[in-house]
Amino acid sequence: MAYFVGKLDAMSKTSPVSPPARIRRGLTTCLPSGCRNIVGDLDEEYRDRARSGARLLDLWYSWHALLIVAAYGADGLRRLVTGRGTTERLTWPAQLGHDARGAIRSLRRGPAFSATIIATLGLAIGVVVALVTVFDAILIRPLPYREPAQLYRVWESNPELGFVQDGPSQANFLDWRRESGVFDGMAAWWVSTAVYTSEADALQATVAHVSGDLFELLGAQPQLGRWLRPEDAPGAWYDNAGNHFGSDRVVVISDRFWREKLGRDPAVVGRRLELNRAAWTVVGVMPPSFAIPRADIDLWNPWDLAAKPAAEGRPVSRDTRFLGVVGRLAGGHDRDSAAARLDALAASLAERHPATNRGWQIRISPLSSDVVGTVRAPLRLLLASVGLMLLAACANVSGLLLARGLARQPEIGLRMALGASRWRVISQLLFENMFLALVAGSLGTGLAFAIVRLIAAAQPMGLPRVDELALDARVLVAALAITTLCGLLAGALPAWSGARADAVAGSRSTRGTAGSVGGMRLRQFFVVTQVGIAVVLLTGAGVLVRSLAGLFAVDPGWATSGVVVARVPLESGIASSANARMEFFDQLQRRLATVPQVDAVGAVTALPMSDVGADFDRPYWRADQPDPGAAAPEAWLRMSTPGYFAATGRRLANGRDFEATERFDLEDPSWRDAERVAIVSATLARGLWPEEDPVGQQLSLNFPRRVYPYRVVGVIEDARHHDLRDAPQAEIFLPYFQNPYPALNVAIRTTRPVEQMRPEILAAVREINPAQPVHSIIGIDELVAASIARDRFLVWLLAGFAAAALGLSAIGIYGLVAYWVGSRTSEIGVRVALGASRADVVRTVLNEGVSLTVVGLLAGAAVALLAAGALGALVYETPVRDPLVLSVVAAVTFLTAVVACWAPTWRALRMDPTTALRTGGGQ
Amino acid sequence: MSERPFLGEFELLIMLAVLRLEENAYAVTIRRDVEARTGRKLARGAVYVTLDRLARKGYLTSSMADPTPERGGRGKRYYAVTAAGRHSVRDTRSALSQMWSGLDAAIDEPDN
Repeated sequence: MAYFVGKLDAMSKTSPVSPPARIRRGLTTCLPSGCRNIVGDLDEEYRDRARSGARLLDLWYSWHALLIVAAYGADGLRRLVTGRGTTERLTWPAQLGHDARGAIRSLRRGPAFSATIIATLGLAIGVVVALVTVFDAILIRPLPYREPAQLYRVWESNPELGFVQDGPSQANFLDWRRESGVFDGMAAWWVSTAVYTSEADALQATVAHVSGDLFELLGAQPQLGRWLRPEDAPGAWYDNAGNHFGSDRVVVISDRFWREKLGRDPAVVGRRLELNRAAWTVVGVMPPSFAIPRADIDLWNPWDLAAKPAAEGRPVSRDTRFLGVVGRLAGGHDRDSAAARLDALAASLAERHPATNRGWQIRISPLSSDVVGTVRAPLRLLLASVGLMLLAACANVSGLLLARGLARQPEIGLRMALGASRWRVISQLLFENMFLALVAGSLGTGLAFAIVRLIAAAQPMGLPRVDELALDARVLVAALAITTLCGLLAGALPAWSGARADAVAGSRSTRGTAGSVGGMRLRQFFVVTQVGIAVVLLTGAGVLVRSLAGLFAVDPGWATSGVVVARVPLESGIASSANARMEFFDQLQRRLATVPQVDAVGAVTALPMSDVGADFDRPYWRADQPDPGAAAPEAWLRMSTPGYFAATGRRLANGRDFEATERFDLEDPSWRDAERVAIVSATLARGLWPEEDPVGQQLSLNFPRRVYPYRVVGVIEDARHHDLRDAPQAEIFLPYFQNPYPALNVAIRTTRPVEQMRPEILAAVREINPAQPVHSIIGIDELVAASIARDRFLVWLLAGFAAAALGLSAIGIYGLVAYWVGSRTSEIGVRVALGASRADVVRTVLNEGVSLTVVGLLAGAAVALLAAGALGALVYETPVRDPLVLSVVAAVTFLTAVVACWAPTWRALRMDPTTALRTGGGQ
Repeated sequence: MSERPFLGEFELLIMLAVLRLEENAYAVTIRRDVEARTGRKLARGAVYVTLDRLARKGYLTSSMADPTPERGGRGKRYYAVTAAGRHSVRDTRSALSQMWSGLDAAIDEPDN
């Protein structure tokens, strides 16, 4: 028996069953020190329950601990309300209840004051939480694929030729997949377009032709049906007109295509779609977050890289580099070890295939950075800016709370005189301030929700991953944290200052005595902070405005207005025959030229500032010199019709445009030996023929499948094509009627607006072929606007934040100076009575506001200069430390301060000395 | 009649349980006793708060026992009814019985 009892005892001592330690500690802290037996009671019951085999023990324990604390809190509150037992020391839950009641009471006493604070903090918190949500969804959350950290984009790069990230050629990709040894899998794709024909319409859809293992590699689940499997791909290939050969026609569709084009048909799996006049079977629908290779893909269909060369009886190409590639890094490899292996592989390939691979390296980059693209820097800038704005809002609210603390001195003094401890008063004031912050935080989170929905709908700056934007638990926790921080930042110093002993002493005297000096200093500090933040934000906005103005001032080399463009991808009936293609565009161009007020019409494969259309580069060299191989520079190759330059305002420096007679009959084999012509850009011409007249010279191009000589008939002025920021690149134009591509962008020079031209263009196209789709009918000014939309959006946002901060500091300055004038009533009265001039009064009052502004200005300018580097990546040819911008900012801030001081100064001037003396000194 | 207020219903239940449990009256057993007899679930917090209140009013005294490992090193707080507490229970009982007298028939009659 003794043995048994001993064992039981030992068991209970070493029992692994014990209540959750943190909860237990929390309970102990919350209870008054005389009530620790309660913790023991709960422990005892906990072990009883454990022995009887009860489940969810910890949950049970936590719940009852909470209930007990709540009961004590409620009891304390009740005793306070009924006035019984107030002489006892309160447990903190009871004190909390008391403070809450006090807070609500004091807020209701000054509703306008409370509303101002809640609105200021609420707006700022709302904007910050919204941006945190965006930041989190885009930059912090992992991509929605299996083990996304292992996914890498794989590129070819050739620093000598200036290619940083080029898609690899098919043959290189196949070698990599076979030989690299660092990837668990590699998949490839290329993107093109197809004509989707429904009963209602013919539309262009963006299609990704993907190797069969892409979906398996990413591991993203379809929301309906299945994804494409490796066995879907073998044999599948596409000709230049987009016709498909060699495999079952199965297609996976995007969520957007499913919603917008197929009406969210729940039975879409198995449904037939007509693409390029062939019937395809839908096998799956991807979720909205699936954005590989791009967010704008409508359809994915299978592709076998080796099938087309096999069908055409030629080797797989090694020198046309156009693939998109993603690989999953094998376990045991990190980025560096993989890079080392890939360097070795690139060297080996260059040795085996020097003509195509010399100088080309293999580079990898995380898929996440590819998806996020270039929005990282602007998002960081915005987050930092709203953070500063929030800080300014906190400083503003702090100033308001301090002012209110001064007004409440009599009340607080009385309470302290009756025996309330200093800590008790501080905690109550802090609680009131936290309470305000919490109300502001909840409203702000609601606002954030609205802003996030707006962002998801508007997709500014081409933000990626907006489909994944959501205000969820993570963001709510962040919102709570931000709110708490705000409450502390804005409320701690005022609470501390409000309960100062000297402040209380001041309660017995009038305003403006030594008692409020501490409060005054703090308020001055807050005003300086606000001015400083406003200066930093204004400087940032100013630099961006200058950069944007610089972009507007760039001459891109083509007309930025008065041109309407439209994309015409030929439907496969016409696209299959080269002569039919030429005939169609010939007719269309002539038909459009007859439209009233049209001055010029032309067409091209790739428009500036537009990513629709085929745009690619090829190596070139002087025809009288040998092929330099991999060392040849490359130029962008574009096919245009006669009239394109006139229509888009491109200027010929020399020579002439193409002529209608420069046209091949592709059904007559003699075209292969006919003379080819080209128009080159000025940069290219200078490079190849620095001394001679380029017109009449010959250059060699490896295009399309073998090297041909081209006679230069004209030189076109340089133009910026992809981005206004980029220096002009070498361009070669070839006549469309010698190189008939299946899709062109039509450009029409006209004074008529897009809305009027749209029906004219549609009518002209349908007249020639009713089944022919047209899309993207827009003004060229919209293309320009879209290309600088991000800069513009950033400028607007930053200017908005800066204006908000400036407004806040104006309010802060006004409040402080008004208070100062009020507290100096008698002093000013005495001065005026003693003969001070109006100018003296103005100088005295302004001095108060302006000196603070100058301090804030200097501090802000110093911070702005130090932090200016952050703007470096975002500005175009603008110094980030710009004396002009700083001077303007200083002037604006100074003026704002003077305006903010105006009303208090006016009041001081209008003061009647006798009244002033009476009010000021008589109490 | 004294100025002392009558005990509330919950207070009375707790007082009676403490009387019944004699030497073994601490929060856990008190709650279990009331629960077993009345068939009602009691909130632990309410029991503690009420015990505190009754102690403040001087109806209960309490003493701490030695801590045990079973209770995580915390002792039990045993309660006992004071003379004032006995008076109060008695007053409440007599007030209630005065109010009850003659009403048995009225409340036992079935509603219709």
